[in-house]
Amino acid sequence: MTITLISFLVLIFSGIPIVFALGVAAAVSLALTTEVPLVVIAHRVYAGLDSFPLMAIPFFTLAGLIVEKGGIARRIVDLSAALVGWITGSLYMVAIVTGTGLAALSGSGSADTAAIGSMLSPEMRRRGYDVDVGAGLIAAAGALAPIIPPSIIMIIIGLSGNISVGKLFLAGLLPGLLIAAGLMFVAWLFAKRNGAAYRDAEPFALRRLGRSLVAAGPALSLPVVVVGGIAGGVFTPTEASCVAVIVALLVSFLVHRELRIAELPELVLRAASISAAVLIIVGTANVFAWLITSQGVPALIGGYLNGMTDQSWVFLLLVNILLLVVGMFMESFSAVLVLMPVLMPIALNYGIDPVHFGLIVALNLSIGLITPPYGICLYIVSIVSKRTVGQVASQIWRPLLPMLIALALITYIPEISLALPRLLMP
Amino acid sequence: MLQLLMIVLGVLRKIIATSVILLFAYMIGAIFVQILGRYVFYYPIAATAETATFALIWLVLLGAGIAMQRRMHVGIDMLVVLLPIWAQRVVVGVGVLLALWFLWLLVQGGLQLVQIGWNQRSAVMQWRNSFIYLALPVGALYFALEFILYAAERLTQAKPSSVPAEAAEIGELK
Repeated sequence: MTITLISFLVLIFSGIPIVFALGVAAAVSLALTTEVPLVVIAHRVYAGLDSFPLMAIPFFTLAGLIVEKGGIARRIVDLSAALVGWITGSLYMVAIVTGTGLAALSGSGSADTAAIGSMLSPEMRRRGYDVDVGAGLIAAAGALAPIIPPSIIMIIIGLSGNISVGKLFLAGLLPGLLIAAGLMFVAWLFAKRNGAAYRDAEPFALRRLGRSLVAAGPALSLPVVVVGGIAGGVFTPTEASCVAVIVALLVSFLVHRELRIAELPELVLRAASISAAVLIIVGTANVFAWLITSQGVPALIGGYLNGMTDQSWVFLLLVNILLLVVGMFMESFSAVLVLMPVLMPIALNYGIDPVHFGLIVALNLSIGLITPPYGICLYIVSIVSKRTVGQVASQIWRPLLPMLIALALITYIPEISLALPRLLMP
Repeated sequence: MLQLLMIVLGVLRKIIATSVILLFAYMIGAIFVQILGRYVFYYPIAATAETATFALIWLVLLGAGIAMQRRMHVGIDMLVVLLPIWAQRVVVGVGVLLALWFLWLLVQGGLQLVQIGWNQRSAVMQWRNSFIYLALPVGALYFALEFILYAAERLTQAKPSSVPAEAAEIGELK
């Protein structure tokens, strides 16, 4: 156990890809502390990948890439501008609403952040907005993708914690909107207090809204089909992800006509390699998880925690602190795969609803996407906004604050996350 | 000689990339047929889920190498870059050797599974499991090749960057 953890920590900070840090740590502790033949490693990796639900990950990734490339993302920006462009600090508002919309079309935050940042950061600079504040908000809006369905991290949380992915998806909807509202409020406060540049809002026009709604309409059918299909029991999440690809293709090819067939193989290859990088971690972490479970680590930590407190709210507080710290340093997929097998049984022991717990984990890790030093959305937004990570990080507390408040609310008021799944998937 | 090797590498990458695209297309087609089977033809098609999952296994194991070529495997090197260059090279070098040992375990274990799998049949299609297990040694060997190429570049680089590869790649696209 000690060997597993120490070698994992040393390896992970040595800079080698995380998939190897997980694999080598597991292999080293197997070789040193057990008599188990090492062929078990290959078999566990295989078993980790032999899973039908995992297929949703490449599918949702491809759907997200098509959305970004096929002109859908731009129409979502137009629609957001028509919706909230009249509010003070309009560009910030547009960025946040676009992030919310794209989150419902894609499953991961990094592509969304890149798409919003590359479209809106230059405009913010041109209109004299504070680009660093804007970049922070864009990163946070991109980080909504793992919370608002569909979500790749929720698929992995669901699989490793044995939670219904469909229920998790529904559970994320209200918390995602709550955070979006919080971000808009923070942005509005900042814009209100700073200079004339932010009073560039255009008056609200119903005709413009109508026009952009028609333009974005076909794309908006995508989240309706996916979430509605899963909630209504029409599709499994994997089937819904396949339908998402097909809808995204149809909209991009037939309605917008901005994607060429010749571009498709490269998009597929990109989606395949992005998801292979995630899924090979899933396979390798399966060795790690098996080792952790067979060494009785969950029971060990659970017993220790039980001795410390029998209050579930204290446990949840500790989990939040742990996950926020882990999220600062670790990439979220491997964090889930390493921590869920340990934390899930303990959470169940405290009588916490698995869907609620899964959502708390997802929310913490999506906050981890924007926290320095290692937050992937923070990095991406810095690059596309042509600012250093340090410059953007100095303003990241503004979006971070409403996210942390939302986290506290969602942790201690389970109804925020559980109301929808209870209503629609009893 | 080097030129010839580069050509061979190029052809190999092309073959693997094409296979991955075909596997992906098959998965989409199979799952779509599965949905159609349930709602249009009223006829459950069991083979689609099984064969699509096999395609996924091959896709991930071959795709891991492509992801390496595209620098999409995330690593945390923010501490390592604080070290002097020579120490960085030592840390990275040891890490590379350990990673290759892990991949070798996958190749070796995978080959054993291929042997065992010859007498096992898949549930629906009745295929020999060896054909699916074969993805492990093949994928791990290709992953190792791409990883060695990456490591050679990383070790000879004057100043390694600390920007995560995924971020750098997406950033460059824009």
